[in-house]
Amino acid sequence: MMAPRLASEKRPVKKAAKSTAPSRHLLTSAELPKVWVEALFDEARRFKTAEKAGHPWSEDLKGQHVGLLFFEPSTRTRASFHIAAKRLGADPVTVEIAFSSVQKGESLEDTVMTMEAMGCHFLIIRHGEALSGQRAARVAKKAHIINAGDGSHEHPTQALLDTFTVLERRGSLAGGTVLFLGDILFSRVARSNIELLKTLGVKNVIVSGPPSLMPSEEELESWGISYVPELNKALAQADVVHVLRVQLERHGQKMPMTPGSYREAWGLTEERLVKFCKKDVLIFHPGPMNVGVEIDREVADGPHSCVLDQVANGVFIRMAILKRLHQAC
Amino acid sequence: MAQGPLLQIVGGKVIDPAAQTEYEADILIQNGKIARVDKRWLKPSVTLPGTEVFHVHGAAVAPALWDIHVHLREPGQEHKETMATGAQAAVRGGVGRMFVMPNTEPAIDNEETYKLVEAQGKAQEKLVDIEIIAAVTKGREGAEPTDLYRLRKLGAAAFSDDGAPVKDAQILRAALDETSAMDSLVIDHCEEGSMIRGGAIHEGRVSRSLGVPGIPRESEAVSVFRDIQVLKNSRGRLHLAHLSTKEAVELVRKAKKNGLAKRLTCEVCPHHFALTEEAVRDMGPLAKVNPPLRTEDDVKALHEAIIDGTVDAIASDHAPHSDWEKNQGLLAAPFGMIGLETMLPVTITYLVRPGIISLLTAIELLTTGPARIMNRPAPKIEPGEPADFVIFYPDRETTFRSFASKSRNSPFLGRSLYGSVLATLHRGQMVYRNESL
Ligand SMILES: [Zn+2]
Repeated sequence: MMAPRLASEKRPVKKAAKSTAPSRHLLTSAELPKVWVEALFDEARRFKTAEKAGHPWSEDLKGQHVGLLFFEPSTRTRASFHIAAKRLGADPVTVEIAFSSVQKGESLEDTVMTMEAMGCHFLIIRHGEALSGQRAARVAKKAHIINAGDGSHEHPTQALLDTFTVLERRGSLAGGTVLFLGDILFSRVARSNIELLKTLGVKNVIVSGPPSLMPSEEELESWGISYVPELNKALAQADVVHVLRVQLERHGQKMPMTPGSYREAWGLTEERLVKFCKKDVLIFHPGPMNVGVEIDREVADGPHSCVLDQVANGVFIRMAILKRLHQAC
Repeated sequence: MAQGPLLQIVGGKVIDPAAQTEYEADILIQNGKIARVDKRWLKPSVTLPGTEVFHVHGAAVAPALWDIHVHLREPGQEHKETMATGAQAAVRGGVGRMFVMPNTEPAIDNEETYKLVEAQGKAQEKLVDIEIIAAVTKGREGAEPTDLYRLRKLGAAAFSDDGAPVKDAQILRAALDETSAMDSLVIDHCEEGSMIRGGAIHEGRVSRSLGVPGIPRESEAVSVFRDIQVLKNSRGRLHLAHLSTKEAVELVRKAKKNGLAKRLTCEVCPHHFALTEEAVRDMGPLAKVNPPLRTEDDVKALHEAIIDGTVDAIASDHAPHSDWEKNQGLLAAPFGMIGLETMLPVTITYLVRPGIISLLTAIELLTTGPARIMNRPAPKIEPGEPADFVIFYPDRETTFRSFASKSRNSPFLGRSLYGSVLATLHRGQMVYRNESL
């Protein structure tokens, strides 16, 4: 039997005051307080410095179990959390959803409660449906829920590692312009990043890409960002370019463009980089990349690319997240 | 500076919809362009020495017509029409630029077919400009989108599955969005297929009395309604082809009032504002067209929509079919009638002479209107502009006994119409001259 959750959680969701610490979960980047984010980045920086200095890993999470519940395949995010948990002395437990009882009709809620009952202190959840983190949080009694991507909705840990990497390379984002390029409509990475950038006070966020992969004007307006339909103009303004993974087919609907046309119209090609981008532009991609479609090999491997920094920093950020959520309660 | 031969058109009345004026003038043409426009202000003409003079007293001189809805049958059905015979039909009708639909066999849905059609079209460029409308979906079947970007890069002017609507509303929306980034548009044929099921003519008085399955008027309105809803939530421009019913033009009128005026346009065809379902009784399959000829009420509604500006252009929907195909009877005969050669005369006979619209408005609907739909500069009668003209007698009758088109499936065959084309000029060359006038 499930105990009914607190009445306060049933009220219409109000924006949390940005000065308070987040709950014991990390579900969205929309409501992360700025001070919390800054403290998190400090923590991640300390882990990184410790690694460089060759210090032994801390044992902050010794004896804890970190459940990795991946209802969708993701090598990168899963491995990153796995390594982060290990380095903190915890034991990662991966549930192979494809062979699990979920296939026999067990719900997300059932799985969460089962894993918690087995002693998982953290549940990292990747799921194809929006708001699945919130669903999990509603039934978890003590465990920390971390959203590792829910449908096309949010991917807050990716946003944190992206922003951390930008700040590491650039020092400050004040006055800079951040461009998200490509499939904005279905991108949880864009959504989470944009929310986080707003929290951190970045004013100039723009998007560019195929009109059929853009949210409506109203939605863009509600985010406070603008669509720049001419790619070259968008690139010329940007200090940071987030190239997003494009899928030319979604839910059985093909977009009216082939990979070759996509590259020509919207791809971040070597030629465009040289011709239109600022000399010190930073290029990001959350992976996995369609090389030769949304981004050229030369760009992905080139001097402007932060792709490997993103991957490396991802581990430190996730260590910091685990540690801080653990300390929170 | 090398000087080509001079041609002077003397005594005509210039109809210039771009400038919204009509005036008597002599026009001097050199090197394919307008060299001078001399307003005569009641003065007799001054002809220049060494100049070929073309006297056109009593005739109207207008920019050559743009026909944005033409079916030429090459490749695949060259027995009905080819690019060459289509070009001949165009110049006889005063058409200087036409946009051909992709329902050829195979459909214009890929680079290879596009280039083939382009080459055939280019071969006619001395007579007429031919532009290509490419398909929205592969084979126009509604399931798989074509590579719009590639086709646009090749030069496709617009996109349409004409002959059928863009069946999948989600593909329509994506196509509207994508074409918006390429300064292009989607042209839709509005018809809800599930309401037709074998219908051959308008569902009404005539279909009932002849016992022929009908095409209900709602079939068009349902589709127009869908398209407008999809357009609202997209970024693109949408043009609705050959509207035929009262309900359809009313939906467009409302949508334009409610903020879609810049992104929504529509056209009507001469046969729809000239004829009713009754024509089927006399003409049989020659009057079988899709959408079908409707009722007097609909014709009146089209007139009103033309008057109040709901309608942006007149287009022929020139659709040639051979005699043997049309002679199969009402049920088996294919839909469509030719219209390139009769578009101007039918417009003059049924709209201008009864006083529904002025000649200037008629020419506007046949030139600047289509240009605006295609987002092109309007043809202007000014020095330096290409010398593309139609010269015609608005008040003279011609009986159509034959056509330059390879087909002759026209309900106007054997009929007398006002507005006889005297000559057509393309880049200063007389590409058609009616010697009997
Ligand atoms: Zn049609």
